[in-house]
Amino acid sequence: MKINFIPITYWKRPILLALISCMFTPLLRASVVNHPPLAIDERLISEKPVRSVQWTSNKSLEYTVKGTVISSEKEVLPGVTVVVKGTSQGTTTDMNGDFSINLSTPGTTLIFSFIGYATKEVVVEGAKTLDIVLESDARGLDELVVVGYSAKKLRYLSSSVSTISNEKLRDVTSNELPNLLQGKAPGVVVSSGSGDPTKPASIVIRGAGTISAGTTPLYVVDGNIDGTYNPVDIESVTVLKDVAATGLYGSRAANGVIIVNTKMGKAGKTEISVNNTLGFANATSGNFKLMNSQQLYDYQSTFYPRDASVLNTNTNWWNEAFRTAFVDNHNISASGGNDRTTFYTSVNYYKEQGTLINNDRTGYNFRTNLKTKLTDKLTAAVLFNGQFTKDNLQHSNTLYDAYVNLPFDLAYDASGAPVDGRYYAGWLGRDRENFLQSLQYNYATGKTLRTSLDVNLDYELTKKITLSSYNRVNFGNESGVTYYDRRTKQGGANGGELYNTSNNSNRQLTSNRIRYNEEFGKHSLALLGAAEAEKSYNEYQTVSGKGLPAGHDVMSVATDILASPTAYSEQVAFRKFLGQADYSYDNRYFLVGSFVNEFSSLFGKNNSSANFFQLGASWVLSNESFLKNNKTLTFAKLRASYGTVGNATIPNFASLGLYSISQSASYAGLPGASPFQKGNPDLTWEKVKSSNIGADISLWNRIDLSVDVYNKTSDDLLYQKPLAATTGYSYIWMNAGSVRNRGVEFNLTTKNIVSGDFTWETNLNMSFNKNKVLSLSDGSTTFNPGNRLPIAAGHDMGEYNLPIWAGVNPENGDPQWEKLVTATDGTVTKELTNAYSSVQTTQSRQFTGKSATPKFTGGFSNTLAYKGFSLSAFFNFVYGNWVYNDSRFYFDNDGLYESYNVMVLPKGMSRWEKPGDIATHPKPIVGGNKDSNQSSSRYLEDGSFIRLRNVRLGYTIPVSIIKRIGLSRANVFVSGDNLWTGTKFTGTDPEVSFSRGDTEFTQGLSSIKYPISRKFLFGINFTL
Amino acid sequence: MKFNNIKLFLTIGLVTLFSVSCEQYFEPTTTIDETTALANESDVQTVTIGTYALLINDNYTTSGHYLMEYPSDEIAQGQISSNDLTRLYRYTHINTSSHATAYWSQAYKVIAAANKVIAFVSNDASDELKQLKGENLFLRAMVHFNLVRMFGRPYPQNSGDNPGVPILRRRCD
Repeated sequence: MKINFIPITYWKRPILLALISCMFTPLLRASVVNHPPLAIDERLISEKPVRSVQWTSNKSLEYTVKGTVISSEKEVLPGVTVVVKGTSQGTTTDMNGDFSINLSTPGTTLIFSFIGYATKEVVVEGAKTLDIVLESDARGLDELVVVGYSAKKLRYLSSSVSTISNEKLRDVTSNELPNLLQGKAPGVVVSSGSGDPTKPASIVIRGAGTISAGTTPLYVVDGNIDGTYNPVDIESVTVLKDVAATGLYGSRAANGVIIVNTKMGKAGKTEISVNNTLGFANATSGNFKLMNSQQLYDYQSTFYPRDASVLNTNTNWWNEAFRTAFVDNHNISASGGNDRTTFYTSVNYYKEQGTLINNDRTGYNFRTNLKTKLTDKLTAAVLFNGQFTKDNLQHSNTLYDAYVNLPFDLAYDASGAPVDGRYYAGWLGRDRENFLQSLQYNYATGKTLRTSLDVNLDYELTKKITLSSYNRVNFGNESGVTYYDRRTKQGGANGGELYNTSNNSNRQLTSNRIRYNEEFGKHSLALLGAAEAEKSYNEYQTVSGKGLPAGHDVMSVATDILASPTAYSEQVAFRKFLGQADYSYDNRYFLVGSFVNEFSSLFGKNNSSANFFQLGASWVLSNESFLKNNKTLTFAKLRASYGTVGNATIPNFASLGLYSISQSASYAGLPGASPFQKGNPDLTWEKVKSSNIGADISLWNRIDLSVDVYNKTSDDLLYQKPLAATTGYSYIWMNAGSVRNRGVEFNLTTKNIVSGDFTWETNLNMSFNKNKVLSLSDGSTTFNPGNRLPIAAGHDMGEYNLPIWAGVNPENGDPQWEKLVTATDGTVTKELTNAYSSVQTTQSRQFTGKSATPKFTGGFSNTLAYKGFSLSAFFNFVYGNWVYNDSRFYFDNDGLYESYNVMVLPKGMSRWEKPGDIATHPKPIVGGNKDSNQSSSRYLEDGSFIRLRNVRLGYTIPVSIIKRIGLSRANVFVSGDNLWTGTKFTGTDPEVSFSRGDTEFTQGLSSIKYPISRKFLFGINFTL
Repeated sequence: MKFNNIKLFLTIGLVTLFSVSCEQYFEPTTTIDETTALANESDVQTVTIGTYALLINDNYTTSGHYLMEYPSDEIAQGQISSNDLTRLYRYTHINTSSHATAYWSQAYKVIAAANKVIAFVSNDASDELKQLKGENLFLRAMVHFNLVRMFGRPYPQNSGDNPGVPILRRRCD
């Protein structure tokens, strides 16, 4: 690919002007004087091939070295950088892996480097032909890890990070990164509250340390905050866990940082890859089963006898609501380039049907990453990503009805048309709804268009100083349509209802950086300074109409408005300055320190900017003379870090005292204003103090172990404190109290067998986290008392506080709870009662000692390879958490809802029938047995599980066969996701969201669960 | 190098200026700052309309209707409902009843909003303003009255000496 450039003089100056920035340059200048010679950043060597130098010399000593570079897998390697050690003279290999270089001094050392391969040094004395074999960098310690603002070899990092390659990431089939990350990195707890393909899983890194602010980690895509990406374009994901790494993201780093790097092209032959995956999915139902007609009839006969004619119908509503769903993923990408310009471009189509009818997600994704050396000193990268997503959302109570509709009611009439529950004589179910009837006409859809454009410039001012400008613009557009036809129950009352929502957003970000590298003797120093500014804008609109002709779904045919239209817009600004110094001595001792100052418009005017600092150190023991060349302990490193970061994820304007001027404040058509939010101008960031100690050890180059111990204290917790109603306000945002998370995590990778054709690798990672509320402000002991998950000093934030269920009274079958009675002398005793109203008070609720957060989580994988075959099995597990199975309120209600279906009692549970029975379930009574289904520890269940998340068998077709049809690589596989789950949980699936700040699902709650899918997939991938 | 220095400092200056210019605050679009909401006499009418608006909120009207009518003989519940109204109908009140909580908190929102106007308008203000102040005084009294009717102990008990409901007399910031 040839690119013609604009003559230098025209563009050089404006770009430079636009380019650079840094507050810290005067400091850097001083350093230039004090610290002589240079350090070449490894990244510069490997990512920017030095252009072949035309070497003309009349010295007779001149000689030429030629050769070929191949991989250990015998593939030729184009684009390998060949550099003369100690100079910038060099070349790169061509399409055939060949290189040729003219040298003048005997005994010159050539360095061969290529991404993904171990760097090799060769000393040449004279003219020679070399055959260089580069070993692929399987161990990963020498892999360059992008830790936000810089890249460093994993071996020399002072912080706790986990890197997951594209290959490891994409065993499971999903279009969402969180779902792919589950169980793959210690300390990264992924939980999916739903099997709905339109709802990605949530992530909590190293425990939740906030009350009302978010727990979602910060995503950094291609070097800048936020941005869009699709999993197919991901080269690698790095999770930053401790402050030495996350710290540079200051006020947004409290929940950890996930670094996503998309693929860039490599110089050499253009590669076209085609990847296809096809498969089908079914809903998992676990230990859960609903009654059929006969079972329900027999059960209800004991307290609510029905006419035997109901047995004429036996509808399985669950089966009516669920289906075999199809999954479809196709991707074509092309990449390549020459020594100056590289490109990667990719198109992706992903469609996943939900196992629930009428629910699916279709995603279209386009990306082009272009990188070019405009001059020897200036490199530009232009990255573009466009994504369009179409969702059919689950709607119309389908899931709810699938759980509760009675098997006595008919789904289809004699003609095969769905019955309308509202008018069907003899319909017995409470809600009189057949979702099959309404789904013929009703729908809810969402469309999202997102684009992201990055323009990144790197300018090498001198050998030691690099100036960079990373700029991004995002545009987003979302729209939603919900339509309830007049012929259905939902739309019937208003003669049809239509809701339109739309949202437009844009975001601009510029990050300007200066980097300085210095090396003298065994010392090396890298300094970084950056100035960043960011501004985002969002606008929202909703319109709703009623009275639409049947089957017509645009706003213009609506005869009237349903609710007044609404619209609003909002803006947020951030500004950040940061500085970082990274020092090392002899590759043995490493020190890194950084300082961040940040401003955000989100916070109160009195506290809108804050400072954060971080320190990290590490010691590579294996580079010490006493351990060097040790055959057993091949690598050993100790790490430590300490620092502060913040959490800024709160709603806009949380600090302001506000009057509402929306329609809700108007009266009789006149605009009004009414008090809305109590102000707190002192509101500020949540501040997290975090320390981490870790060790990385390698034995015989076969066993890699990383262990980390951390302590994370969050102070000034952001809390939306409910106010007593008598204040006239609902809540106030405040900084209240502190929470601590402590934990241990480890990652163990062993190469059990490495012998010629056969390899077997095992990975086990586990993380243990303990959460504790240390103190609360205002002298409070409990926030949100009376809540299922209150925040109480001395307790885990996820600890349930409920009336304690005390089983069934064997004499009369009554439900019983523990009632706390305080005697006059202050002693508290427990007695059993059947009066729920006396135990559900704040005073009588008790801490259960059971928490919604797991004691430990982890993943376990085995990968076997023999010749072209590979087999991998991956388990993830969660232990020691308790799930509140809220839906049992509906389908396990002891007679309260005789017009709902009931779950079949799993093993170990029984109903009270006669005096003397020791049973788990009270006697069923019409109208309910004394509030037995109200919120209590009765529905708290052990949520531990182990799941076979993925099994995959792949075969790489030998090159000798596929060469004939013009392919260079081809691979086929069969794969299964979520094939088996081991759990005691009685619901369909034990997995619930562990994320506290999650708006869609509450922590630890399983309610009308959309179970996750069991998928079977087949795939074929080939490269031209 | 010299030339580069000049360029460097120039860009540093520009970028710093640009970054600092991003230190801005924004105003919300559906709400207004309380310091400007009730600042002059013309605001009094707007805020009084806001007090009326709080009265027509579902929390006051619908929940109030359930609380007052459902325990009466005017209503017969035809079908079981998971809505809290069933408890009101059956006289099985619990202290976390959603309708009681909604009515209680909405009532105090009306009172707090009225208090702001009452405190703002002095007794020697113009007739128009005193009219508005009077309306707020009336609304506050009416809501207090309804709260006592709904949540206070019956008057004949203990010769009327039982506590009723908290009275919010002043604005509460």
